[in-house]
Amino acid sequence: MQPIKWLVDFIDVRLGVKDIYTKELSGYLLPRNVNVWYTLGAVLIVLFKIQIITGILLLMFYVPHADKAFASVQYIMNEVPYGWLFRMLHAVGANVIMIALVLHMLSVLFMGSYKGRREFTWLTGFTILNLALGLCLTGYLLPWSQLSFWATTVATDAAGAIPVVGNYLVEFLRGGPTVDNQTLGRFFALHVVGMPLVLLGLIGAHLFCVKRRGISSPPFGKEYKASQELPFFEHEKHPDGIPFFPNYFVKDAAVISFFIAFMLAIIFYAPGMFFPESAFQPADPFVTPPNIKPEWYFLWAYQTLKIFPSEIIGLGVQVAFMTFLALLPFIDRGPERRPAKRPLFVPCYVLGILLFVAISLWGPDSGVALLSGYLWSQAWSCYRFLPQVWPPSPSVCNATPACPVISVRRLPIGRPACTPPTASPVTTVTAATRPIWPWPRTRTRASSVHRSTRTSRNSAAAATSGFSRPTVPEPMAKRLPRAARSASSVTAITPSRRPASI
Amino acid sequence: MTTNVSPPQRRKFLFTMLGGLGALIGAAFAWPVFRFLSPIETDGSGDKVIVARGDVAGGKAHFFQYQGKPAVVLQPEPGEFVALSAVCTHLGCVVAWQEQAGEFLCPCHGGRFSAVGQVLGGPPPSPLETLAVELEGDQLKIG
Repeated sequence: MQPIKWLVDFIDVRLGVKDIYTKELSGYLLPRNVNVWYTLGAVLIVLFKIQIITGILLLMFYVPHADKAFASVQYIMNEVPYGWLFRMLHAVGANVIMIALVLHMLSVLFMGSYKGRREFTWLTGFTILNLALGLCLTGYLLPWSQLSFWATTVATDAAGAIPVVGNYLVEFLRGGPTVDNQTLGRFFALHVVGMPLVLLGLIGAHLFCVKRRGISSPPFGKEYKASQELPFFEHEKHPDGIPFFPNYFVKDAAVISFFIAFMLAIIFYAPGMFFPESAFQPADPFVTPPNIKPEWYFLWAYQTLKIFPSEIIGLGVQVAFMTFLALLPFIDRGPERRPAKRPLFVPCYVLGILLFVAISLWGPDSGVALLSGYLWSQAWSCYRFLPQVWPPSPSVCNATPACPVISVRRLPIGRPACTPPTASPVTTVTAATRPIWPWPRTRTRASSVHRSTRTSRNSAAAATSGFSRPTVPEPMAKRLPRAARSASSVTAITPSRRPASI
Repeated sequence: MTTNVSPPQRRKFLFTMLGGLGALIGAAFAWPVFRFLSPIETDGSGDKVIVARGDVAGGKAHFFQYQGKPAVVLQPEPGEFVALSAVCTHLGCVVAWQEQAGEFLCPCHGGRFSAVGQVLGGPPPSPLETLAVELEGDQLKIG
């Protein structure tokens, strides 16, 4: 401890860090009844940091060109060490951020924390939410998969509903009449540079507002105080509160850990949750996959456009709703913050959430798609974590009509193959369309088969896309005896040599 | 049950445990980042580069990539092939073949090498690295 103390003193004499610590951490007092919902801001800061770090890492291998983007993402997922992890952290992290943002907004609404001269705090936060949606939209296109391409086509097409300038606006967004390399270029620039810069500025402004005005106290218990709208500025203090560090910091750390665990659980146990099959097919401007739809957080807007007889009405409803939300602190001026004492607000709040969920699930396949995505991922998890049940008995095999094509990768050398029914969709899936799953090299001999298949497929994809990278070796194969290596190469099932029964 | 552990001792223990846990978690995240950033390993299967014999005319040099670095193969005498690393041993510039003079010249600091890679003049401290060449039919297997 002595060297650390010496270092702290050394810095403190020069920069006065102990004073900052006292003022901003141990001396920064929060309301005594502050609850777990107040941690979501810290959670979001950590999640945004993860996005920035993983985004920088992905940039090292991603190629923002329509001919090479898909292959470069596949390369990241399948060849770059831990590339799958960083890409999944980035993609799943975006979804978790949206969950945290929505929860943060809902908790602020429920506790009336936007009241008491906190309009700027609300407005900056609401803008961050919208900017995060923009980041998700622009980032969604970058893998240049069928899902990316057509979801972006649908999303940008919505702007065409605006009278007079609609068509021009659609072309302006896309950089041309259709989603093309131009669209990818501008979305990439916005996603990587433009929007993150604005986002960082907004987060800074939001934190400044929170710190400057003072944190609101929860509207529960004996400590409740109605919001005051004084004609002059006043920092809301909590002299009898608890210190941010260490008291509240521990709670922050616990919830942050929970969210990271939640994110990792999705990555490891349900990696297909946010990746339907069309996410594994390269973009084809001439073939629209069936039931294409945007991500879950855009479903409400997507459905709103379809519900109303005219798209312009749907768009108008969306704009009106978002404008109402943005201006809520200016509309809801009452000092009361206790939910039980807000008989108009709470029913509207609950109905609003139910409406959001109902509209999102309304579409002919929306809910089904979410469910099937989940089941697909569960099926994969079973294969991943229960290898000892292989090979299944014939009854088990026949009971699995969609015996997934990924079973090829789980096929241990020298064991009989599962023979699904003839009508299995597996037989219709081609090498190019087969999903490449984000699993690392496993320490089994089966992984050699898995990897050989994968490399062949990637080489084929690279050849067709013009993207070429040096062939990456099989590190695990090196650890096998030579005989085993040759055996694995003989048994390797390449797309063209794959038995028809698999 | 009473304990003789003082609060500072408990605090020290807590900080040590938290520090250790933090270091473990940090290492768990740092290792993938390190591996991600590390150069991708090759298994040696791509060690040999095949060049068509017709690409290497007498007295001319043919440049190609060998293990990610520039290399050159030339035919100084009919039927005799020499393959060399094209990276100057001085400061890593790529040497240029001077057909008239029959030697390599490094454009950065004027290092000169013979057709077989020996230093003829200038600052290079050592000859160009020599690569094995094997003639098989109409193909040269280098590496």
